[in-house]
Amino acid sequence: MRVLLILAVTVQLLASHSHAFGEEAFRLSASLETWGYFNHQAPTRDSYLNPDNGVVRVAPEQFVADFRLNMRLSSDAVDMVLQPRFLGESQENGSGKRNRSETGFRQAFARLAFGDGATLVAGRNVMAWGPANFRSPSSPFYFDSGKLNPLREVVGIDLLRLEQVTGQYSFALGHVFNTPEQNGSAASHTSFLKIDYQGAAFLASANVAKRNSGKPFFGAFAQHNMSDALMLYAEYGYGQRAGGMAIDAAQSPSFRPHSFGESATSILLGASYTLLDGQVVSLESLHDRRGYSGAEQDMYFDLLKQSAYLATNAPDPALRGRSLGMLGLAAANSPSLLGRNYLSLLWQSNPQESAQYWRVATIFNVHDRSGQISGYYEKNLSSRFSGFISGVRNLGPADSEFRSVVEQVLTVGIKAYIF
Amino acid sequence: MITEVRKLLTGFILAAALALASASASASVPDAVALLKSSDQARGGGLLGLLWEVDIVTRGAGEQQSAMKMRIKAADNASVAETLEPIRSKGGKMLQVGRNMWLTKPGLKKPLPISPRQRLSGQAAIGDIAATNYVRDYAATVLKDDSSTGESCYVLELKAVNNQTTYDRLHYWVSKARGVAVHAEFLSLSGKRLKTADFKYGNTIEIDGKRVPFVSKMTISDDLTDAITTLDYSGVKVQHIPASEFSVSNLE
Repeated sequence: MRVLLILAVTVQLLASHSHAFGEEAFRLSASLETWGYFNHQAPTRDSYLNPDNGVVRVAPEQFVADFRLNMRLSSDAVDMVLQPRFLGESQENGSGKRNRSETGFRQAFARLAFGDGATLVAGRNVMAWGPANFRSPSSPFYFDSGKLNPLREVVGIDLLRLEQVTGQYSFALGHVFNTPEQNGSAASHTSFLKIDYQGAAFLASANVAKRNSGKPFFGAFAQHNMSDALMLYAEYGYGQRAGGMAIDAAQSPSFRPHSFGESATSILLGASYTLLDGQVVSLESLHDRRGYSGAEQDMYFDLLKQSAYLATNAPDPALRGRSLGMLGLAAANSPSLLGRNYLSLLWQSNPQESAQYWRVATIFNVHDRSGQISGYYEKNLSSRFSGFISGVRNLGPADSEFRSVVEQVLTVGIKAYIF
Repeated sequence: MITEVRKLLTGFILAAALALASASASASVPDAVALLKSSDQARGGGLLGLLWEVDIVTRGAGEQQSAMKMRIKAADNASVAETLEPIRSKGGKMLQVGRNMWLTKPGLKKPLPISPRQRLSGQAAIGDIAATNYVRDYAATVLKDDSSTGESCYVLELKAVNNQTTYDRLHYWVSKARGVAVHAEFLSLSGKRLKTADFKYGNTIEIDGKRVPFVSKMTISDDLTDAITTLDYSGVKVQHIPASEFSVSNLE
């Protein structure tokens, strides 16, 4: 934290004296945002996965302070980006107060432009692509960073990437050395090739990625502006993804986590429509073969019910412990989306509007008919402060995906723009 | 015989008079495309690449005054606009390549593709902020002679020839003496006036060793909301912008 403050002050001093670098040659820009927010989470009372909140230990109350420093030193040919982060959390989970902190870099890379349209990127860089909001099936590096905290940022991956833009085509070739958000190991040492084609109102992209010790991943997406207001898009991916868990009721334990699942297909189809005032409505449908089939999902909850019953009622403490262990295994390793078919609807205010921003979203699991409704509203309070409020409500029975752990989350916070 | 000679002479004189009138008319009607090309150059069109900063201030329409500062890089049919101020939007970028557009802001997980309709929203449309290439995007005809703030002008009518334009139709006042646009009316397809704009040319750029005027101020009046937006252009540099600057993967 102290290091971050010293860094922030130094950067601010340098930024205010950018002529020291020569305004023509290099330009230093920097910004520091601090977010402070309070979270209230209501664990599902009749949860099978998390009976009496004894497995996941959802903190009913949580205060988060998030410091986001962004620095960029750039010239015509070179960009150096450094984005250190500090996040401090104070939780109250019924059994006392717990404090924790995280320090790291969201991005830390150098980009060198050379020739006409070639760039070389080295370091930690956020490499996210595709038009979809709900999930990004076309990216082998996609990770749902917002599963536990929707306000969390995406952290970059450590890579070396060479890209050449030639007319309407661009070619990117690279190697990923580390994926910090997936504990550094899951998709580490992956080589990839990505080709984009951009028409006047159309973008298509295909990629192939190969882990050192894994099967290849194939991804593609396309987006087309059908009119000024309507955009249609699709994303496709086939390959293995990190994490997940197989289920086999005949085995013991019935839940078998794996670092990478079998290769499977996921397809997302989407449409977004922009209203006259700039508000955007997006509808997306996801089919992901990595999720459990209907029968597997039913089996998953049957096993949870048995374990939850034994964990709370078995007379034998050892059996109670084993059952709690099963639930812990499931909580830690369940796929980020349990099922195979989802619908997502997002309605948001004009993203160009700077005075306020809002969005309303709903997600629906087609098999178990559980769903999630969420909303976010942010308004500028002054030139340096804005306030925000966000709410999530999970709907469905306790043996359904979205209400299996948390019923609702309410977040209230403030953002301060220091410089 | 005499009658025939008279008829012949009359015909010859009439034909000669018509030819003279036509020649005189074509000499007085200027080439609309040449006018547009010259006025485009003073607003960034047809140049190799361009870099500038623009201060945008909006007043009226029942809103508080709001101000923004952006850095623009533009070349051919692509532009990238980076927000420098206000502080809360600092670092946000909008990329436009043809009709494909993306927006990125601090806190967003990835660049957000936005529809071409977003060209018209915001304090000033991206078509106003970025370089102008009307000669490529519009068919021009000379409507009439007129004056704007005392300056003698040709009024051009511009009709969009592709779907990459911000506006469907324009009336465009081009100074006879300076060859730059001094006034514009932006119209809907039905002819309804949406906005008017006035231009000043206090900047200069160097082209082929010559200093030529370049836009320094644009004042846009919105007929629908009564808002007035002023764009002040500074730090204008003509330079080659590499294609990689307009790659969505380099927006972060």
